[in-house]
Amino acid sequence: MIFKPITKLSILITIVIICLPPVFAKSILVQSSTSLKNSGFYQHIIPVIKNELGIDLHVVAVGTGQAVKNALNCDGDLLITHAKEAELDFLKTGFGSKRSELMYSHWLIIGPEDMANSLTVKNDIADAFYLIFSRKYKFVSRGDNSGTHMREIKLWEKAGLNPRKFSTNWYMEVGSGQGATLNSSIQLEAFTLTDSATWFSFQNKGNAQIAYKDEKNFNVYSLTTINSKKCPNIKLNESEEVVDFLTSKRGKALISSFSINGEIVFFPL
Amino acid sequence: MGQITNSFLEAFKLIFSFDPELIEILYLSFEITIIAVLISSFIGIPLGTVLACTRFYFRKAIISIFFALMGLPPVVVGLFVYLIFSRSGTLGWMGLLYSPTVMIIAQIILITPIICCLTFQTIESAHLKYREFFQSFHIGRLKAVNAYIIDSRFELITVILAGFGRSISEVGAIIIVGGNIDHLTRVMTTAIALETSKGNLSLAMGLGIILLLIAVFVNVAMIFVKNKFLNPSNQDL
Repeated sequence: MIFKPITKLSILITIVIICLPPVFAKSILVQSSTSLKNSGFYQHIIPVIKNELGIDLHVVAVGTGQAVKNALNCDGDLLITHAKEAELDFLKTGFGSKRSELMYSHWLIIGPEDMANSLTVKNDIADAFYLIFSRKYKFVSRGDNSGTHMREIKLWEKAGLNPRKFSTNWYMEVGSGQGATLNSSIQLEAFTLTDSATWFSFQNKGNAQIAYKDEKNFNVYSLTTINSKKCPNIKLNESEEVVDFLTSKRGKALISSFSINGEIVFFPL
Repeated sequence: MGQITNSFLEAFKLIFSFDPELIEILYLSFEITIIAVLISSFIGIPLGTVLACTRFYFRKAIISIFFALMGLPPVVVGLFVYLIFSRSGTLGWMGLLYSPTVMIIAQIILITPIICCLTFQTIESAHLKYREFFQSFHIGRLKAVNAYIIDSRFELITVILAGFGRSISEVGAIIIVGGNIDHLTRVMTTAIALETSKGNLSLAMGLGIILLLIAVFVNVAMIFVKNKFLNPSNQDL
């Protein structure tokens, strides 16, 4: 008695496995920075690209560091990241084929409402970082080797400081994605570095505010295609088509038509 | 408190909106979980039974290893499966990374030890209870095993439900191997992780409530089936 339903089930499993949705459409795998996915940017461009080029973008959102690592394993057809040095290093390994700068957004320092004005006096973001250090304001760091984390380290160094020597009393490395880091820094009433796209689309702002907006150096996103000699399985043609489209006039218009709550966050280059 | 109330509201709004995206995510969650649980049961239950009813060298060692594997951290399983199925990995040529199939594989690695060990315990206790009885009647081993399984079918359903619970609530492994790709590998748990990272806490919690409601429903349904169709009083054995 008991074995009959099991036999039926086994037939059912076989059918289900055979019917697993096969992917026929052209698609490329994008290794991306988290901020672009969290802000809803891909939901804005994917349908258009699908419509225009017939190519579906499958986006894996990890930090820039992780995205580059995954691309070194040939697990991605296109990189969309925002850390120039990491991208140039990637090109040097021979795995990258071509890097083109796509657009920029702004770097922001986020802090608790009552302390938000304390940084505005500074005319350089590195000075603001030095102020945070000298007053030992609480600061939450991504600590995950993402594009934002790399930028943060660079800014500490620009201010003449070494974040590895910071006391954990005020400098906290959470080792998480951008959203999780914002959640923690808001709960801890601390400062943190983020980008405008993430911040404008973030829903759990609490009483945190923009404490500093960097008007001098921008957060530049770029597209890197993968070298098909190193990774023969890469869909180079499709990813080049996507790059050509996004850097074309129409692609730029598409980027600047993206807004979050009426605020334009990405500016094409 | 406000956020928790909001999340309940959000959950009900989502349920009654019949949002196609939500249905897609739910469908994939269940597809992956059910296939993984069924395959794991087909591996784990026979394996557990064999370990319970036979005696061979290294049996105790194998049992200890399986018990240890019950506590496998999902992230480690995710990484392991990622390294194998990555394009530069051993099975990279299959091109399975970031697909539902590889998510099922990760789930199978996670839940097979659970199903195997719990089956082992159930069947072993039946075996210890009835072994001498069957031996005295010269009843063959296969028939005896058959009787053990029928006798402990209630417990085995609980075993499968334990596997189901672990599988449907798992996020660490499948987010690494699946990549949480929209319309392709996004399931309930990875969607919750994404909404949390967007700061959309009430929507994330709302999704969590839906996941919980469905898990409760599945468990109740299984208990109903168990009592209705597998109850000894309704059925000749």
